Amino acid sequence: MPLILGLGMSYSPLFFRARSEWERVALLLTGSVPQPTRAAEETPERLDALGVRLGVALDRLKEVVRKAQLDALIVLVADRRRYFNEANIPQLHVFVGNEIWGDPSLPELDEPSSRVTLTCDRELADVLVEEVVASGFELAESRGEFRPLGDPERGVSAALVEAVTRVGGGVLIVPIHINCHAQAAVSGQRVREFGAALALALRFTDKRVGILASGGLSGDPYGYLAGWVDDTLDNWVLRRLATARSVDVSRLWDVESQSLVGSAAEIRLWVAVGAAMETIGVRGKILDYFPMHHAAVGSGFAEWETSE
Amino acid sequence: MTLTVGMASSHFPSLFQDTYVGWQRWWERLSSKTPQPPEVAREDEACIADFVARRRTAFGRLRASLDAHRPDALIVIAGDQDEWFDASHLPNVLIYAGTEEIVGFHNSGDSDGPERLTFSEHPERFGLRLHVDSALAETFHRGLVGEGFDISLSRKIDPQGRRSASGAPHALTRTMPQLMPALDVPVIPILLKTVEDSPGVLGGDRCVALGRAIGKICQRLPQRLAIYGSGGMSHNPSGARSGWVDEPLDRWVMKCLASGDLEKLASLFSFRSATTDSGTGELRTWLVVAGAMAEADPQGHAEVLDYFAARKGTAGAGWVLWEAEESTQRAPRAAI
Repeated sequence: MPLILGLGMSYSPLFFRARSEWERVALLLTGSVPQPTRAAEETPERLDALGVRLGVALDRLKEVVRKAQLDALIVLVADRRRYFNEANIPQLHVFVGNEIWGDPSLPELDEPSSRVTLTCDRELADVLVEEVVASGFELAESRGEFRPLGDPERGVSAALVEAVTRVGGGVLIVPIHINCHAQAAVSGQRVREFGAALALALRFTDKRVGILASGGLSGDPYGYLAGWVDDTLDNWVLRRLATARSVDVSRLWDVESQSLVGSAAEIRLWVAVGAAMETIGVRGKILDYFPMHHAAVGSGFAEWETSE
Repeated sequence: MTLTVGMASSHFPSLFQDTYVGWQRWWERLSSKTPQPPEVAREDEACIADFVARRRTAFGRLRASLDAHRPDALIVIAGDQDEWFDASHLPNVLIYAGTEEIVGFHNSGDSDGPERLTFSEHPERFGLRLHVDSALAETFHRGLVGEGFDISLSRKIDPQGRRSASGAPHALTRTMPQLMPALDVPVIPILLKTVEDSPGVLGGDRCVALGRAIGKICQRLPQRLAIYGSGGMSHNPSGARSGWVDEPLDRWVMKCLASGDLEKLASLFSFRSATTDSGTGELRTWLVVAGAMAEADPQGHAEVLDYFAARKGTAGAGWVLWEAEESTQRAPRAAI
């Protein structure tokens, strides 16, 4: 069974900064947006406790990846005009190359540039392109050298770089971008079909492969509702994924709502992972969830583990 | 019914030369280093003169049809060959919905004169601009994504390909003066991956399905629309089979189009071969048009205007026309 592990992790730059930096990061993410009353509950003590839970969840994901002895990890992320620019905004995109890089530093906080290069499994990406397109998807691709156009200085999304650096343990990756932010964006149903198609395509490889969603959950960092988290939505999403009902989550974007923009749009990534794992009969397991106003996102962590 | 005209044609460069010299120059450039089929020797001056006359007639028919139907916009299905995009950013299907005009070239007569001209170095003679109906293009993007197609979107022209100096994709621009000399119909450019070195290229079934989805969207729109597929037929210019036209394939495609047998056509590009992994891949654009016109006029079928295997030109030269309006009298189908 080539697909042996699924992972979902929310993304906020705060997750990857020292506790002492969190107030500054939170200010950057939320700007001048009036904060919900509940944000005041995030006292230093509460944040310390959340920091512990965050560390436990990320350590758990890292350990799961290590134990799975993966040959490759497919990483699903959304682009925010770093890789792509207005000249080409793909809905579904795979990088078919040997190396990809990104700089996750926050210059707004005077962090020095810190370019991180990640090694990719080009061979597996090539298999995915062929099989997924053959199964009816207009998958766009990049071949050869990584050439970011949206932000040529900073490269691929920090959500990819920081997640892989934290939990990947040096595993080869296949970066796949799903359009979550540029309208018209790929529908939830289509993303679900795409996730299933990825799982089926992996039948054509003997590699041990995992799939990771890095993004979401609800929230609107830098946006109109920055700092507001819809934990009702997040908990519902996680419960549906835990009962192998990605089909229910896929219908989210049939509705237009302020709750569904920003990082919530990246729940699509989780739908794809859920669908992929459900294709092989595995349902999700929630490791932890907490709404975190400082992080400006609902902070969820989940795994889909096979018996392999 | 708003999609009233469908067209498809070849666009290989020698096709737009009026002289034997012009054809010969392009042949030398593209095929003279490749072992050639015996028919090439028979493509003498008289033969080329006949090809030129037939090209004029065929494009004349397409032009007349477009003129008669006066569409509000022309959907152009075309490939990109390292012009706007290189391998580092390779859309599978992309709609350009920007407001910036498309700047490109035709190459009519670039090799007919005393010396061969590089068309991109003579914009005053070969340059052209196409106005884009960006609002309609956005409508098609939204509609196709809604129909379950993963269409990339472009709102800015930012050429990245090795051939970007040649302007917009030649498949978008080269034939436009043949179809509308005044360039007065705004276009909706839809780029397909056609000849790229990738295993992830659309099969015929998906091309037809894409076309049907385009046709369906057209039916919901008040505008009068036309659609054109650019490129093909079988050819492998400068490649290992340059000049070796796959005439049976081309004639089979024409036969399927004329009989409206899209089920058979959908099996095209379901396998990989030296024939299909080449410029022949541009026939995908024809399949999209066929799908769109089948949706617009389920009882209709293509009229084959002409076909000849132009081995000196490296390609099968073909022209087809669909006219969906009932009031439009169809000419008898050409023998193939």
